Amino acid sequence: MKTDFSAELAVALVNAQGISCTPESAAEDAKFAASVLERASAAFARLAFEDEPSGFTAAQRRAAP
Amino acid sequence: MTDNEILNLSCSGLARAIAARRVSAVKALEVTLSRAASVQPRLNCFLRLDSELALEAARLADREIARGHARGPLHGVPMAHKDMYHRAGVASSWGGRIGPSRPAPATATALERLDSAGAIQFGVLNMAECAFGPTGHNYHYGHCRNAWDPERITGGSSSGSGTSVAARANFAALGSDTGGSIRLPATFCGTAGVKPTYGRVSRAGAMPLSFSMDTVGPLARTVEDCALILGVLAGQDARDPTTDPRPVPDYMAALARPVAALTIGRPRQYFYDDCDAEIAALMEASLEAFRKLGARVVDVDLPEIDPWNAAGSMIISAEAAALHGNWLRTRPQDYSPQVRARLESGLAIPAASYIDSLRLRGVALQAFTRAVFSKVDVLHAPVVSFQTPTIAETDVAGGPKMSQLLAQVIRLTRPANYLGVPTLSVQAGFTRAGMPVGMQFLGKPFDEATLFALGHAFQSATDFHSRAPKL
Repeated sequence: MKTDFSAELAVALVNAQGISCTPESAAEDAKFAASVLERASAAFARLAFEDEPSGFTAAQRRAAP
Repeated sequence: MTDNEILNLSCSGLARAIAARRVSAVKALEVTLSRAASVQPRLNCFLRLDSELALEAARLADREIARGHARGPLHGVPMAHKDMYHRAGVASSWGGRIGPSRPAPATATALERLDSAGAIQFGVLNMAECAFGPTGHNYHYGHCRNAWDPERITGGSSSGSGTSVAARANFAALGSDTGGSIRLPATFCGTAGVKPTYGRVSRAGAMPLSFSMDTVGPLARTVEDCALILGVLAGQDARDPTTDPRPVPDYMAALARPVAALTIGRPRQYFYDDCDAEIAALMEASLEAFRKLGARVVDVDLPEIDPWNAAGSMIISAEAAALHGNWLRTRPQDYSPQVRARLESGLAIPAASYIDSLRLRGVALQAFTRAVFSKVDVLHAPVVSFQTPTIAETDVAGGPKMSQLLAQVIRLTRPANYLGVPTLSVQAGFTRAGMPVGMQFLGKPFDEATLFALGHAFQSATDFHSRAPKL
């Protein structure tokens, strides 16, 4: 999935949390967010409706020797 | 014993020598302090030496031995730790200006357990600022330098832990590993290091970076020492509700397990992408050593790892940004540009994507277990795919090259943090340039014992771990 994550959006998100940023750092934030969201999007799309974070602990218990 | 003989002992060897009164705890500490002072100008690995307090503790340790009492398996062993483990009455630096301005009200569980085992803390070590950097650069206290070549990086974030232990200025050190921060300095500095299963060791009283991914573990010169220290550290702790209640195995007994019955997996995908030829050759040589020891080596196909790395990045970034939010608002100037930029990037991660990253974690562990641990006992892989760069080459501060560099450094270590599996890093050999290279073993959750058996067998058959840098 191609992610449209602009520097303007990053500025808005960072500023909305009471933190100031520069245009350069916002551009880096946008690049980072776009990259990780794109790389994970297909895996996220395959998640079952029931999958939740506690599944990790359950998987740990099942995989332990 | 000569000073050099003492400094070259392992933790377990020194503890035995102290118990047998072949060397006193005071003498061991004095030679360690002297070595620490001598390497500090070249390596910048210590942030503080607590000589007087440690000498007082060493005198007490000797009196106890004279009365026939040893506190535990580390009685009298001098150690210094990454400066993020809180000790009551002392303010930790966290490797930067942000952090506790007041002395800690309580001691970290990891330190308490080492104290109970008889270890003597003699100082605190340099580290990446807020443990948020994989190279060993520190813009507040000066960059930490590699004992094998001070122009090269130590790896991070447990930079002082790796280089002080390699330099024989410290017998073992606590590190922490959220994306590779124990295994990277272990490989670049030529020590062993274990990132335990998430939930195996208490994080209480340790500086948090990402509560879903942080792990606490030791760096030491031998796998035997890692096993000994993890045995001291591991186990449930009421102060950390994420710790697991299962009993802690006898890791020292596990060292004697035969490796001939074990099957080692060599990954067909991901871990050897763009791998330096010398590193790949050292990995193959280490696998050949295991074949000679009777282990079976088979190729295994992995599920797609990159989406997990991306999800791991989201978790660390978002959690770190949340933890540091107040300081980012009120004291942004107190961070270095690199750390501030990395923390800021976490503010741009959408909440639903952060939660999806957590939801995916169990699915990923199941898929990895099915693909790998249904066929082999451990996965063997390089820790990094490139040779140790110089400090200057990797000095990217907060600029545009930063993300690319960071992603490259942690590419092979982060998957184990996301999966929460235990991982042991052991030195596999040296490059032609004389720099150490590490291999890592990824094991089943809570199966550190098998990793120790393999690592110890390798160190028993080779001598890489006993070579010391010339300083």
